[in-house]
Amino acid sequence: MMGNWTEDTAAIFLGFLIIVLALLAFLVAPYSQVNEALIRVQSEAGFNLETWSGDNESGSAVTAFMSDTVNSARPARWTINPLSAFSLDFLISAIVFFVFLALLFGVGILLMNQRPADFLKGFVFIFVLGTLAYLLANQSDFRSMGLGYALWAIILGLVVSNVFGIPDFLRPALRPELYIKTGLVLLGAEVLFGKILAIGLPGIFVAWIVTPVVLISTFWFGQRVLKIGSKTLNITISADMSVCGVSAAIATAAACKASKEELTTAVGLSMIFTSIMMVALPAFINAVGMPEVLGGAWIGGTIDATGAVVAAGAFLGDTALNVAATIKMIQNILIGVLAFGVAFYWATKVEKNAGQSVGASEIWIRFPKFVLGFIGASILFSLLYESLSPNTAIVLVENGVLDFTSDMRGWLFCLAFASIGLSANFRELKSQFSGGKPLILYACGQTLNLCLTLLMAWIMFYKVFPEITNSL
Amino acid sequence: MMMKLKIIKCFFFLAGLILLQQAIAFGSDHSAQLNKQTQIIQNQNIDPSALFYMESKLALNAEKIVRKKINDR
Repeated sequence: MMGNWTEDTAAIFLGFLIIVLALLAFLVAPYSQVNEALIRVQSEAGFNLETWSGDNESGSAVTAFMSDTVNSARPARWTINPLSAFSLDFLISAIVFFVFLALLFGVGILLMNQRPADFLKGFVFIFVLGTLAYLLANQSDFRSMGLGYALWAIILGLVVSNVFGIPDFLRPALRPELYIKTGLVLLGAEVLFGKILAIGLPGIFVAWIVTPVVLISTFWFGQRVLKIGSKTLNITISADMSVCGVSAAIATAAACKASKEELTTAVGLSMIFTSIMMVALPAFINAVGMPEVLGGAWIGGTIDATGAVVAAGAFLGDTALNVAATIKMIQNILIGVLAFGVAFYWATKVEKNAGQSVGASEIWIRFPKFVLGFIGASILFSLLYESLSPNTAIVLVENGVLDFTSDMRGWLFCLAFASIGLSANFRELKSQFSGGKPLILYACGQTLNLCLTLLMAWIMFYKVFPEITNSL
Repeated sequence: MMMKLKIIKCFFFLAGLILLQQAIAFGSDHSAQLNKQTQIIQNQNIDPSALFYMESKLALNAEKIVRKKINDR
């Protein structure tokens, strides 16, 4: 049986193993107690779910241990002295978490018929690099500009590989695709389809109509007008710009099998534009005196990363923050459809020769299987979330299982980006930017996105559904 | 000679990091817009680098507030 596993099947197995562990620890043991306690206290006057779940132990002892370990394994926030980010608690948690990850991926490597011992030697170094990426991301000035772990992990990897080179012991642990695909299965669990109705039809129109139009138009523009040589680079940048930044870039790049350098280019562009737009867009909205709901919807539909959307929305006020974050959340859900659509399009259209017809078995062979794990996790958690009462779902799924898996997913993406930085070819990375085509593609696509989102938000929130706008 | 070159490259990388941090700090101190943004981020404990809505408590709460307002109307 061992040796037959591909990176995709190993990623699905590891992703679901983490999900099952999280479900066992968070859901099965405390479910009846939590449900009972919630029914009892919900009737009390002034009941507040957030305060209640913060003050009460709504999970098991395992819950607290797992969550604390993953959280504390990251260096704390710091301003001037980086050493202040480290503590004894951090050291212990980091060691425990490293052992957990090493065991997890050791199993994955074994299933793929490779030697776990070789993998582990290099994995120590990648874990340290990931920790350093989190250290830089937690510096207060870098943090305030949204320069997150993904960017620092790539940069640190590139610096190490270009200054010192890659020693042989490191190579077996350079498995960006395994880390990414496992992380994407976990991301699938966070894609809860019930959330798309949060703001009603205006949200669906702004996030689910404009976004695909911008994505397809940008891809077409890249192929036909800019004549970008690589379709995978084109679709990765188009998805990253139109959907939700880095997470969309990761999902798309994995679905269409883009190169490490192409993913790095898309992530770099997204991070730079997000940092600029997070400051410039609310300033512009303020300057022209745009209403908060319209400004919030515009920010939510156009700025890439969720965190930057929240920061930009908060600058305008609470209403703008709520609208912006909700629109972005609905757009986030689109990532499931995007990953499946891109994988299917690539398997049936892009990877076939002219005039060749592709049969179902051929499509199955070409189709990246991890996407099935991603969609499966999404369907499973969407059903679970909708089947529980709203408050129980929030306490057990949102604040419980998914809180843990999203932290795990963050670590996996961090390790993936460190591996990408270590193994990316610097010359090829430079060549991606020759002629500035990726930059032009991103800028033109974002301009279209800004125009269409503003127009659609104005039509939906002020012409078609003004009663929803008034209630916000 | 090679070692010297590696040390120089590392030095430039660290210098670049410090320069970038100082540039952001300078911008926050001297630009009213950036300063206000930084204050809001710190006061409301926002993580602008959060990639997905599940990583942001504020985003999760925002959805619930919006849903409640629409349902209550």
